[in-house]
Amino acid sequence: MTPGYLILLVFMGYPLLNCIRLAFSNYKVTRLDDVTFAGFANFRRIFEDPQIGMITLNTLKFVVITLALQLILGFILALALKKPFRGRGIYQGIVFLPWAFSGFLVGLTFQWMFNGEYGPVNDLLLKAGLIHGKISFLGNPKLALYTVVAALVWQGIPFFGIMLLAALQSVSEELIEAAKIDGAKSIQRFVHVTLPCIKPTIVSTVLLRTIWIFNNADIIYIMTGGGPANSSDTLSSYMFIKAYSTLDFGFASALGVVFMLGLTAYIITFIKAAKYNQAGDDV
Amino acid sequence: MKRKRILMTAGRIVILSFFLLLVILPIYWMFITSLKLPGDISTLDIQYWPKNPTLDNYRAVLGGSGFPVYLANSLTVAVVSALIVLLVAIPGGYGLSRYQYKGKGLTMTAFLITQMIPLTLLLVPMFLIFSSIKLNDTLTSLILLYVVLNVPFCLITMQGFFMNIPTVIEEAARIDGCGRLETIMRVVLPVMLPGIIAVFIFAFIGAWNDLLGGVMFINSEAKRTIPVGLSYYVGQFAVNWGEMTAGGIMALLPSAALFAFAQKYIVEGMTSGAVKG
Amino acid sequence: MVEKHLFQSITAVLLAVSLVALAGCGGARTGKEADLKSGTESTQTETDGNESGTKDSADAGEVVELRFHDCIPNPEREAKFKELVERFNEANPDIKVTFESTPWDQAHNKMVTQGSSDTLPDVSIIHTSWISEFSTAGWVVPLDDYIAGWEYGDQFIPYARNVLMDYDQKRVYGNIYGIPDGLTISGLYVRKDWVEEIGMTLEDLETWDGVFEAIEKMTDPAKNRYGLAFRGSKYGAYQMGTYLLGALGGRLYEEDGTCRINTPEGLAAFERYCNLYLDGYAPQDSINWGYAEMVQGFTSGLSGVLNQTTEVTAVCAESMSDEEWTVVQFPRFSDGNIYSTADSYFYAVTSSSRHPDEAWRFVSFMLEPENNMEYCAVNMYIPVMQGAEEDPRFAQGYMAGFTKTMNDPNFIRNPYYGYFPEQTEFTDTIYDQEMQRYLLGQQSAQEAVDNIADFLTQAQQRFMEESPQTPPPCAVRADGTEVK
Repeated sequence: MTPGYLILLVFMGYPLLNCIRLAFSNYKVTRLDDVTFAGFANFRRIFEDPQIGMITLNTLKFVVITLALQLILGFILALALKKPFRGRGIYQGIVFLPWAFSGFLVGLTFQWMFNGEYGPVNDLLLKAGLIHGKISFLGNPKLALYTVVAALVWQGIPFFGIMLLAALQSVSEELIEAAKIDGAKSIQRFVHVTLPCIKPTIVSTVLLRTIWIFNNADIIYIMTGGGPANSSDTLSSYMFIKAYSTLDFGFASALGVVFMLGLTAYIITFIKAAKYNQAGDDV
Repeated sequence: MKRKRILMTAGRIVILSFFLLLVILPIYWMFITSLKLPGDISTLDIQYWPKNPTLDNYRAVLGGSGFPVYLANSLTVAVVSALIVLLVAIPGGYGLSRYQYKGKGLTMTAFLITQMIPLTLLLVPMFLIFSSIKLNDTLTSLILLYVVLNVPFCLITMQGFFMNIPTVIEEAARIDGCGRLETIMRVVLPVMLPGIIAVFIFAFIGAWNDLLGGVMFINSEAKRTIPVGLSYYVGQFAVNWGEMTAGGIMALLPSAALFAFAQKYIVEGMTSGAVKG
Repeated sequence: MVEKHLFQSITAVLLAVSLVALAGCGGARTGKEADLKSGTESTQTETDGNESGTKDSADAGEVVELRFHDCIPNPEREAKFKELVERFNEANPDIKVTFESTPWDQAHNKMVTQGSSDTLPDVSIIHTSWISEFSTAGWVVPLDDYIAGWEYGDQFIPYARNVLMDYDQKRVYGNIYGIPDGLTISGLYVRKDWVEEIGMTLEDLETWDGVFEAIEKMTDPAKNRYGLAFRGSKYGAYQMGTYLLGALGGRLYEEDGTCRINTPEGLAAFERYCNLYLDGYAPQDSINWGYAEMVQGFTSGLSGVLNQTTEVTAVCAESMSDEEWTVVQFPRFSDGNIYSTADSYFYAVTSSSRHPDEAWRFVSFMLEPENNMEYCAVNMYIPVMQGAEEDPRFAQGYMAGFTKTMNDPNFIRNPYYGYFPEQTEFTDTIYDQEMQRYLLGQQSAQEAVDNIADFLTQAQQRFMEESPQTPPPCAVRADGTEVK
């Protein structure tokens, strides 16, 4: 495996070390001749930022809700698809499509669909009599974040659907048959045979998905730019916008380091709690 | 018993219809927009079916832009990088799932950490690496980028899939006299086919949809990928919705074809027969 | 142990295969692109050029490769650029320019990344606000000597020369780093049928008071009509600021660098403008609107007044009928002055270029009066070179209104918010956020202007300490004189 790791090491290790180095430097892209050691100054600025509390809370809401919806809906979809039915092939082909759109196109389309004045969502809700006045989905600080969540969930369900379906299909029929013979009911079979078998897939997809949702800045950037008044900013969209508007990559890197520490802590806790390392031996 | 089955079927139909509707609506919106004239696109009197349906947008995309070239580039980049990812991820994932060695946990954590580096902070160092090995503005640089971005996830997922397979099966095969390689090739990989295809799709889509890398590392028009090409329809003052959605719908076709092909394998690749044999 | 060995060798083989695949794909790529005319060969020779590393002109017979980059591409613009580039390449067999572009939304980030790794294109079109960043970073080269030695060097129109080059650049940075390519100026896009309906005339819209009155009268939520295409996001506050700065008479800072935005006049102007949104004369959703949405709001028939620059005429002409809309001159304040901006994008030669002399030859070709006019006609810009006043392309039609504003003796260009490094951060994020917080009722108008003023005062005073030689930003007239 060594050569494979080596390539990864160069392309990931170097940026990683670079990020840590910058986090402790006064590093402005426009002042490259004047880079000095900054100690913890960049980190201190993060905690002094008056917006950071609200944005961290936003990030938690954003990640947890998006992930939960994607996972639950994706799981339901995978279960509904597990048994064959007529036209399943076509159905699957269609239902997996959202995944094949780039975030850029999804963001723009949802931004338009949820436009408070000339967007079709408002128009349809009005015509159906479900609402009486137009809703400003992206202009209302209470709704903006959730509108972005809607776009991301739409795009992300197929991912979980495919991964979980594939895992479900890999579960050995023999084990289920064996459980049946032992007299287990369908729910019991699901909990005691199917779930443990696909647990590694659930754990690894949830872990990675958490990181990606956390790092997803582009849909937010496209749909709301973090607004109105930071109400839909998450830590990574905030960092993205800060990095390129201030060109202060020292500060941005410090934020990046804090993210990584936080995520690592989360992952270690999660793996411990899920007993991931033993999962393969449970069977 | 019969009533229960009917209820189950009805439930499934409701669930399946719900997902279908959820998925179709935004795509339908893009589709009808792609059939509209500029004046019909942004009106307050929303047209849910174009009053003057036209194929002008499709004609403009196919004729006036480099769309066919972008398509070829995207296909090259996505297919090649996804294949390389598989070549790395299959043995790597197998190794991680089957061998116990010191620092295994560390390797896993290291892979996960690579996924945490925000892309914003990856770009400048990547740019430096690419320009030092003279790969700026080449499709190879994109392939490398997507391999690097997608390998960690695919490796971990592969490992997850391998862990789903009870070691019992392998042991049984070995008792029958198969060597390790033979066991992998004849027993493990066939069972893994759904997983392998899922990972391939993942790596393919990851490369297919990426905008940021394409924008950053490609300069020449002849090397643009599809998302980069589409991003040109967002002008400073206006979005060319008609042509952008037309391009988006056409860009969907290869992925749709891939899904149509792959879902069959995910389903039929369920090769319990191979396990038995 | 044997098994482990075997496994390792399999991996080695697989990796070798993958490397071959990589190399093979490289080959395939070159083959494919050979059909695409532009592309690989240029990159190839360019790398060779870079290796030779000479800053001098190319030796006889050697073709110099240059990359020319545009940051606001659209199809018409791109076609014109390509045509001009081709003409240049034909006339200069020793130079070969290739055109490239990045969409506006990504252009700044990409150029910053390229700048940090010394891979910028030789020549680029850049935005006004980048000059400060790029010159501080040393990514663009001074062009003063080139301009001085150029045959058309003294034929810029006064505003371009006095304000955009001398006042904004030479006075502040000591050098000229960017040459304007064409002026865009704001006008009011108006639904003329609505103006008639409310019993007003287009002349009434020539003052701000008239504009406010029209916006209020046009609004009729029952008919789904709003007076103003308000812009609350992505430089929305910057647009509000055009009015605010006018109300301050163009005087943004006191001598000591104290910002005047939170003076009573500033507060009143801020409130008056923002209240258009709060009182329902603009759609509630518009707090999230940027360029594209507000234009779409106007063209879709939702809003009656749109404050936008020249380029938008093309968009309106495409999706609206001529009876519905027109453009009127930017409104006047009660003191008789038009406080506004006339911006331009700039040609810049980057420090990544190994051939700055050839790069300049290309820039100067693009700016030759006839070429500049051709380019400006396509983009709806006012040319920067003299001689366009009588040209029908600019003296008639919608462009006439813009040209008239530009040439008005009482036209005053608003001051920059500052030359300090926090300028981009301010206009990109802080300005919008403070305004949005007021619009959402999260803070009072007084708090909003205080926060804005505090940020600017701090940044400006810090900057004055660090670079005492740089004068504070002021409003200017076309001849380059400051409004004190």
